[in-house]
Amino acid sequence: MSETTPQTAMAGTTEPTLDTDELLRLESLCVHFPIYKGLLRRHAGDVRAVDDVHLSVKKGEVLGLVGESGCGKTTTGRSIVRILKPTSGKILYQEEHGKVVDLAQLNDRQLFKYRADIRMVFQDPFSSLNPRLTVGDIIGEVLEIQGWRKSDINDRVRYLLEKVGLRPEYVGRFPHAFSGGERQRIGIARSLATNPRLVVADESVSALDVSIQAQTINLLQDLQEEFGLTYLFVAHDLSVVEHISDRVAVMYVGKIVEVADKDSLFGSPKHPYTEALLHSVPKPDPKRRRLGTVPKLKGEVADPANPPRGCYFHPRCPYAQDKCRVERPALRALPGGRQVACHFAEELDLEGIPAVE
Amino acid sequence: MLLRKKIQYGRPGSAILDADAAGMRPENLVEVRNLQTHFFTDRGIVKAVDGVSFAVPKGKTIGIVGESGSGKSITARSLMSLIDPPGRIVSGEILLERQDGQIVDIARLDPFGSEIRAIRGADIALIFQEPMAALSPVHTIGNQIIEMIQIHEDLDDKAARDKAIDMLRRVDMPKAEQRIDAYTFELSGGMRQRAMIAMALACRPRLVIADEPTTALDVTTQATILDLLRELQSRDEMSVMFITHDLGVVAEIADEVAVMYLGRVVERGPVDDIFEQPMHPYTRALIRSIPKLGVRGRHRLEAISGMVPHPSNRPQGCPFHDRCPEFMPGVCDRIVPPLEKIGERRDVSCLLHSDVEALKAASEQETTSDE
Repeated sequence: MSETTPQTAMAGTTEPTLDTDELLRLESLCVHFPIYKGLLRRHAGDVRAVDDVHLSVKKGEVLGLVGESGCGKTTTGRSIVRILKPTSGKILYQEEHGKVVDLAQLNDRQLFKYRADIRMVFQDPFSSLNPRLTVGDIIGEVLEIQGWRKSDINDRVRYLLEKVGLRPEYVGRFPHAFSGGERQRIGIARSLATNPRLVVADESVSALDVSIQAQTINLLQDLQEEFGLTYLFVAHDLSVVEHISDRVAVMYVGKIVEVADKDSLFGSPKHPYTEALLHSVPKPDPKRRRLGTVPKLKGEVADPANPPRGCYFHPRCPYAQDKCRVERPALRALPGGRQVACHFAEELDLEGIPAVE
Repeated sequence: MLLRKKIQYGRPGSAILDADAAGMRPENLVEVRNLQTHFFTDRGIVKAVDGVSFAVPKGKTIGIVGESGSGKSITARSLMSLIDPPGRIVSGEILLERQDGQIVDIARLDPFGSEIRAIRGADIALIFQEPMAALSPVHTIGNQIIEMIQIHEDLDDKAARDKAIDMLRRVDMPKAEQRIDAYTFELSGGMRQRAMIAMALACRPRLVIADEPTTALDVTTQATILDLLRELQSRDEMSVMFITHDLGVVAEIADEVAVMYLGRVVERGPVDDIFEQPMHPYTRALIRSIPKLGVRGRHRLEAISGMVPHPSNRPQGCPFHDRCPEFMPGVCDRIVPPLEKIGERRDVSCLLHSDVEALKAASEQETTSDE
């Protein structure tokens, strides 16, 4: 590990650097799953679930990560918390006092201290809680592993339960005694136990009913303000993402295709895929259904084991030209701090979702 | 067989009704009146559907909206008489106008009888949420569609196969002639859903019940499936009963909406009215609680407090009263609100819109006469 602080590290050296307002940066992150075929388990190719992803997460923001199923958003989240080991690339994380480490290179023992800093909230409130442990044990387990004293753990668990809107008396109950929404609160309490700096929320409100979903979103926002948390909010529901995020990244077949602050991305998308996604969302307003002018997407998501040549989106893109079929666009910077991976981002006049009161 | 003789299946009385006696409005294909479907479990009676009334107009789409536990799926299955024991349709009427103009009360039919089997698939078809659970993994989709066609129509193998290919083309299945011999695992989620829709529509049913057909799909696939359903509906003039928890989907596809809560319809009306002038506090709260695309800036959602109670633990009086922002003590927790007609094709079940004094008097009279 380098002792150099990011401020003094020079460009061109191998020491990783991050801007002072950055908490995490993914550099060329790849997660490939090998496919084996035949009797001899011959290596027949790779599913490129995450393929050359560059993304930076700023301190204190909510970064939404959206895309269709199979686009690699969950895999990205899971490699940040290092449930998965990336195939290649860097996961640069800036510690509280400015030291930068590459989480992708660390082994389990070295990762131990960072496991407390980066935590995860899972999608399914039923399968993500051990049915044989009490709520107190579920939330306190990580504290015990991190070496807390028994009495402190007890106080902390009660404090956390109160914070997520559950009664501290419930500490001895088992998960089956709670509803889906309450279980998700337990999952959130568990993720906050170690005072994390980054929480990866993977579809954390998708499985909940409408009325419970609103409560849970409010809770996540309140906790973020109170504890100064940073969220990577992985979700497929664009209205939820627009509501909770400061910035949004859109993924398609393992690659980031567009990153921008929420208002620009939803108001004036620069990538045709973003436009198509936005206009696929059903609007809870019968008057607006007659206004749909953007054509619906045809075809299926490309196979990440066998992606098309050129731009991965070109077979479905209504604006595709010859260049798109041969040359793969790189993620490049546009004015206003946005990034897009499209050859024709400047020329295209794409339709966003107008702001409503 | 012995067991089957002991149990009275279906309810007594003739299932085939005279059109005048039934009193069905000619613009409706189905009228559900005060339907009650209960489950008799070891822990007590679960009133999953407890007095549901609505109508499915001909050639239109009715959206049934509700959270989990609201009884919307059980209502749909009741229409097909597909309630598994220990559940049973306890009372109420499900009137269906058949192709030949005959009116049948499905609630009175034997759920194992030949009459209901002739209705299932031919008059009413069901599209499920999860195609993998509804389609067989060991038969090709073609064989499943052909089987369905041959049950209801007298066609030879060649003609049935041609018809199946035609159905797959109609649901925009790419390469229908080849895909007819595909197994479900060879198809993507959207294509499986298309195959199931093709199967459901094979016999040109007059009513299609779609139970959360797009919930498991991506937004882009959902949009194409919704377009397809809308297109097929307008071409064939069939009625669709679309069950969903997603208000956005309802606004997109429905002509009329029925909002359900704890086994009851709390509000019903044309889609524009429901979204613009919701009358029931639950509908209002539901619409306010969802994040809407296009609302920028940081704000809090107006969440509904509490959660849906378990159907076996239903609150007294109005089922929504303990979460209602307009709760009237001494009224809402005592009187069960009736479904009141407040306009053309518009009903609401809330004591804010009822004559409370009259209901009070009626309920007091009832209790005294009981004694």
